[in-house]
Amino acid sequence: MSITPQLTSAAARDQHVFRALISCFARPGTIGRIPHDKSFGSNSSASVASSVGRCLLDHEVSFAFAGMDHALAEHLLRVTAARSTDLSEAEYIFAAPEQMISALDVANIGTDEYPDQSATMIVLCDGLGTNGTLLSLSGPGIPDVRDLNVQGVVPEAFDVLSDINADYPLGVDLILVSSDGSVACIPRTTRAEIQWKRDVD
Amino acid sequence: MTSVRQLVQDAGVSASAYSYGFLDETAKREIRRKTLKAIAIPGYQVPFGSREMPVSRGWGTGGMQLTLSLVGPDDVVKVIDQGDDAGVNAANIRRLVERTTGLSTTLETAMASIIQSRHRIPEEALRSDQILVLQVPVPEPLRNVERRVSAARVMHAERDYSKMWLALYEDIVRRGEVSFGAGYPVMVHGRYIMAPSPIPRWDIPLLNQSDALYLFGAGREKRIYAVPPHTSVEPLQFDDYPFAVEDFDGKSCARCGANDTFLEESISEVGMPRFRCSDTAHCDKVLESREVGT
Repeated sequence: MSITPQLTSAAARDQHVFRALISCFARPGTIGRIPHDKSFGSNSSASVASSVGRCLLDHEVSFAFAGMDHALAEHLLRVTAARSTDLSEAEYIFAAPEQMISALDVANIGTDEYPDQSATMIVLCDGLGTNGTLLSLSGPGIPDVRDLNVQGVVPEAFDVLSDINADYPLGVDLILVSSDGSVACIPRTTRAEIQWKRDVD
Repeated sequence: MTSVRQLVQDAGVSASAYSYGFLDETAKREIRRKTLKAIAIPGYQVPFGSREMPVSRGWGTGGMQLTLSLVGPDDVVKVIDQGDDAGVNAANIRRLVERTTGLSTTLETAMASIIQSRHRIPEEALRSDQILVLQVPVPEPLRNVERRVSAARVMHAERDYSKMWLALYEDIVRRGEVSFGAGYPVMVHGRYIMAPSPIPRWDIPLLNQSDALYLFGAGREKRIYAVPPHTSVEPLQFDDYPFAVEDFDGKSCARCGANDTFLEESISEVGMPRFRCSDTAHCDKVLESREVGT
């Protein structure tokens, strides 16, 4: 007699997060939903970022924080056992929106032979889908052009991202999360043009 | 005497011998990280730490690891081998998925959320909510022109594909055509030459600007790669020797009568060639609709 293995609640969350990420990476600019990590506060963009971290991080990879408070870093260190390191070496970078440009400047973009050994940046923005900077995205995963609204990130950050990712296949892959559990991804293949920007209050 | 099972149950942990989906969560996590990078760099082969599976390497372990790191409670899985749901490889992989996840599986292409396949893409158009996982024996398209893995990696890095083009040219000089039958090399997103796994040329156009996501897993060679939806995938060809799919002109399936599918040739009892759809689920569907129609 065999007993069918059960999916634990943590494994179920990781699987759910992964499918949201895979869908958003395959179709850049579409907005997916990610459950909050209930063991790290609730209803904040940090608890959404924590769910992303728990899905992807373990003792085999390193991460760094840019302009974030230490609570999330300590939480991820404890629950994932990933290594905390410098921004320039980290495989996963968690960044506050105002630190996105300075983090991009030093982030690892991989090598010609191993472009996959580059940073994935998780930016905790204020909202996705409405208001804020309007980006017009094109590239693999997008039939023609797809619009994406991002709140709380200075528009110039996307110019910096485009400059870095112009050297394809080198580049940084971006995951944007917000407090309502929304997620959108901008992999390095995506061209992001700023269509319209609202002056930051 | 207390049984092990009783002790395990008393401890409040799962009595099952395996994790959900066979792979442990650490293994899944690594495969998931590599899968996301593969999608971000279409056609580039991402190395991964291929795990031991309960079948030998070379029997679809790469595809299995991708499928098992994807599946969750909402999924319906379909597995095919050369288009056939009843192939030994397909039946065993399907049973492994059922036993280690409790998920339901299907034979119908339209019903599946994840389709694992060996050497075919289903005839029926895939939707944006479906993922096709292809089993890959040899992920390196340059293997025949460059034996050294490290040198092939440099060629990919430098986008130096002159040896590949030369091999195609020499093929035409010798045989009058590009002789790749299965696994015709393709250029993905204008950057990487990719081995599409040994699918027939018939299936190559389906990779281009598809609605569905394609994932490729090579378990023995420890590589994962991907073609995202709506991505340019072009077969390598010369202006005066264009790529062409297999020609089934004047032939049709002996079972369902379809003349617009990829056909497999066999020899009938009286020694005559006979053709039959390679995609058995599609063949069943056509046959069913004909019977309803008459």
